[in-house]
Amino acid sequence: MDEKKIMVVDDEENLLELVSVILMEEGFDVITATNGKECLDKLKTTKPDLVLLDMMMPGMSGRETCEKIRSDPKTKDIKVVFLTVARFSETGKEILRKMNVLDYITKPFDNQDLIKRIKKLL
Amino acid sequence: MNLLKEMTENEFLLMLINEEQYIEQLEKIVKAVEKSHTKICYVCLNKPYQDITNELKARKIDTSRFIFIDVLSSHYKKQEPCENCIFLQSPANLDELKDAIKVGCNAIIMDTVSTLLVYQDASSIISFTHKLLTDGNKGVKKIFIVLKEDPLSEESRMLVDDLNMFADKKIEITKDLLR
Amino acid sequence: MRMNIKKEISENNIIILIIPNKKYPVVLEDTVKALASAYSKLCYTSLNKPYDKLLDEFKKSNIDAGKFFFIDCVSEKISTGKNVLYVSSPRALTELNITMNKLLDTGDIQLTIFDSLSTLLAYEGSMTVIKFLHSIISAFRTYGSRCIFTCMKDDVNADTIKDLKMFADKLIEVE
Repeated sequence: MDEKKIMVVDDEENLLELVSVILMEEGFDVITATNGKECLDKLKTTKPDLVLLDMMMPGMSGRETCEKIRSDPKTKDIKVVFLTVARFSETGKEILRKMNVLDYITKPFDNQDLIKRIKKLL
Repeated sequence: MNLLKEMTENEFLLMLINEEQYIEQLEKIVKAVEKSHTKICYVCLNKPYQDITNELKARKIDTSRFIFIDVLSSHYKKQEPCENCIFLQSPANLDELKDAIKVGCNAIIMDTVSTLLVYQDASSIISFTHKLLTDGNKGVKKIFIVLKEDPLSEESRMLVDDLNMFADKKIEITKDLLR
Repeated sequence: MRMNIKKEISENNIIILIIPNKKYPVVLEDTVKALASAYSKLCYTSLNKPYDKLLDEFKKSNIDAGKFFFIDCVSEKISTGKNVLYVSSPRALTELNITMNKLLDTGDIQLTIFDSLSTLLAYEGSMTVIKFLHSIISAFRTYGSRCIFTCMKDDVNADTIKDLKMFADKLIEVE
């Protein structure tokens, strides 16, 4: 069975490592990026099954990164899930729907919940 | 548009105001906040506390229910302690600002987020906003004033788009809208 | 419409004065003359002409230089005079900021003429100038002092003029 590939994008290195370990233990192939630009650069050469994207990053935010992912024909169909500290408003949720973001996970998250929700999407 | 109604129904509002009518539009917003809240925290990012209170008083706004946070004046000159104003050292220190905002108010006016962008990058402002939203400020009305045509337009537009993910409503104030 | 600069500055603490390049020397001279008659303690911050030249010009125009303290960003000297402070370069914005603050802190300056924003923009990008502007305007407001920033109209684009307006009380375009 092909391993599903997940790209995790977060500027917090500790969290990046933690999430990577959690996902790898579940059998996922994990690629990481620490910012939006790095994410987009890596998407030029690799196509993950899902991008787990931190909402709040210096420089290019998660929202802006997602817009760019959606605007590129090569990457527009990649599944995206946001990681966020604060809850989205109803306006925010509507924007997520328009950007075709499948889910968002609030930090701090429960590891089992994270895995369950990602597996559901894959 | 009924500002009072918008304030009652929404906890976090982004108000985009016209730079040309900044004072007039700000006056209407502040009056609406004053009518509907008993203790208001006014964060002075654009002009020092003294200038703001003078302008509010000139427009017959009762400032007795306001606590001001002035991030500018102390940077230049030692300030005498003041009953209704907290002086912070710099607009660059958002942690200090976040702590100062914990003054037991039921509404916060940030005047203006556009000016904050002069000193901070967008992601720091978003991080600050997140903390404001999650850190025991539930039920506190938050009104972020943003200048529509501001010089950091691209960065400002991105910031507004990001803040909009967490705001209950983004309102573009026009001259007609506040009649 | 004739501009009454004395009235304008009495009603608006921070003014940006946009002057057509052709008229700049004349309007500037008239402005300085008018303000020198209304105030006793002024500062002239120059990014265009050195202190020595300004003294000559003030003398020729019958402007009392004794009422002024000068900040000279042009001569590139590192010294002080009786009524002049030197800033090492028009690009040295931090140094300029500190120098202006020091002067304001004396409590002796009622009004500053800043000549000119367009020269500043020739050396620095608009973002840097805007940051500097907000910082220095906040200082003026904190000290209860006034300032007129001059700007040569043909040297800045309309968008930049709009941007500069953000922190001022009034922007006046001289026709």
